[in-house]
Amino acid sequence: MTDRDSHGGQGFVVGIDLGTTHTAMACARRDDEKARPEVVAISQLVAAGTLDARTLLPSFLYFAAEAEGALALPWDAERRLAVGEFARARGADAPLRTVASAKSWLCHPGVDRRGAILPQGAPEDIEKISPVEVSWRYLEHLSEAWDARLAREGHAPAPLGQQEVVITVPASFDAGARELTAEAAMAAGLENVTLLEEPQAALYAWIDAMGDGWRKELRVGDVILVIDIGGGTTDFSAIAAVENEGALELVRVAVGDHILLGGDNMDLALAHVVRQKVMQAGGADLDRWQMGALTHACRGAKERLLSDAQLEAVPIVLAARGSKLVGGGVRSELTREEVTRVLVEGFFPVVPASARPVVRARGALTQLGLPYASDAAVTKHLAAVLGRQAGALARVGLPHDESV
Amino acid sequence: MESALQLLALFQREGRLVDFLTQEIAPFADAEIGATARVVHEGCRKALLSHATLVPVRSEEEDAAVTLNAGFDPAEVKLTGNVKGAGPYRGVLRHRGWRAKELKLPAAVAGHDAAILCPAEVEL
Repeated sequence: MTDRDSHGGQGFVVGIDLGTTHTAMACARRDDEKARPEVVAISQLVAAGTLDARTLLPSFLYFAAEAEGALALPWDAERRLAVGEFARARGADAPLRTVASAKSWLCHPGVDRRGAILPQGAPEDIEKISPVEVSWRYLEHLSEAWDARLAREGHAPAPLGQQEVVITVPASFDAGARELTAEAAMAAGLENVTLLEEPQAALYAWIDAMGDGWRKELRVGDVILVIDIGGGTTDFSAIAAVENEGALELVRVAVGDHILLGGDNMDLALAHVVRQKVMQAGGADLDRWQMGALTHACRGAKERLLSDAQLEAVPIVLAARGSKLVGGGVRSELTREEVTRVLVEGFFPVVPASARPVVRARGALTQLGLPYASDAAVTKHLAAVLGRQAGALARVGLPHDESV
Repeated sequence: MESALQLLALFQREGRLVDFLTQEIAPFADAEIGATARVVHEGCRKALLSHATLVPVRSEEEDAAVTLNAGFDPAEVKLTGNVKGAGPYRGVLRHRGWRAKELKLPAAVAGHDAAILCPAEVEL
């Protein structure tokens, strides 16, 4: 890590959210006191030979097959792997050549995280890489896209590797996973990296959004529960406001396990409900490609139903796969009742504080894979965290209720 | 030419627009065409809104009375109906118009054939 003063206030401070399903980046100029962080659009392949700038980089990595030739980028004509939107799209077409959820592998203590194990089940022509290298490739892509953008837009060079970079990590990451994230950043050429816990980052963002109002909302002794339900993972942390020599300080007092359960699971559950309806109506079973399209359609329908209380149902249409679009598709709908039943009863049931998630013993086969949560009830996981951390407040000297 | 191909490829990729426009739809019932239109609309709308910043040319509500002072830009406003004499003109706004404030299209990586709007697919 370099001395901050050596930057002389120049350059950028850059925040990177290296997520399980998506990666995002924002930056602010260091020499501007009033600078607001701006989301940085990330150039990436979105289709073969097609480059587009998107605010999200899907955290997917795809290995080109020999016959496909290179997956050229403006800064590397010979590249054989792609990260981002094209990699995600190829993941649906050719799943064995694609790495997804690398971050979950990075914090999986049951595997050799520096070992070349990904993609799992890859064909023999792929030289597998380690979970650390996957994170390194994502960060390397951010760095290359950043440098290329500055050059393209005619700005003075300010390589990402030499900026002050903050990478967020889940509070539940163990020391090993943090170290490996730092190692991946180093390998990607990022020289000045600070790791920041995601719930802490969320809390800072909340404080920032509140302006001066946060002092009214937050008093010494308050405990803030940060619930982070991502695409593939869920994390709970409790942060307490404590007094330290007269100043308000925010201290993380409790953190739950890194639960491999998130929004993608919810969309998939909805897709299975619609699939059942299609089959009950006499339709043929859906193939893998259609299930992918259905999951995507259910995500959109869910978002519309949850943001508009007047809507009772949203039509779902799966287009035919071939070029004859009209007439060959599958039609159904997703209703408010179904979304409520699947999401509220399945993922967020009302449970007593004593509820605990069902833990299923994992067979020898599944131990090779990721330790997905076997109980989908997010609220039960939350109850477990709260139960386990009941004594945490006492440890930071805050008033607490022993009966909880 | 290159950017027009990029635009067609974008709408095909995100909303199957080329498939839709090249298919003969006369034999199909409205319900089937309507169902397909949802797919095309959703995808193309997302592609359009994420790549183009569109604003109305006129800020007034449609069907409101408007006055055009002399020297208005004839490229911005089209006069219809009883068009005669010199301005200022009084009339009713029938269409607000659209202006593309910004358009950012995907770009082809060197060596890529942009004429392939959508590759053929062969499942192994």
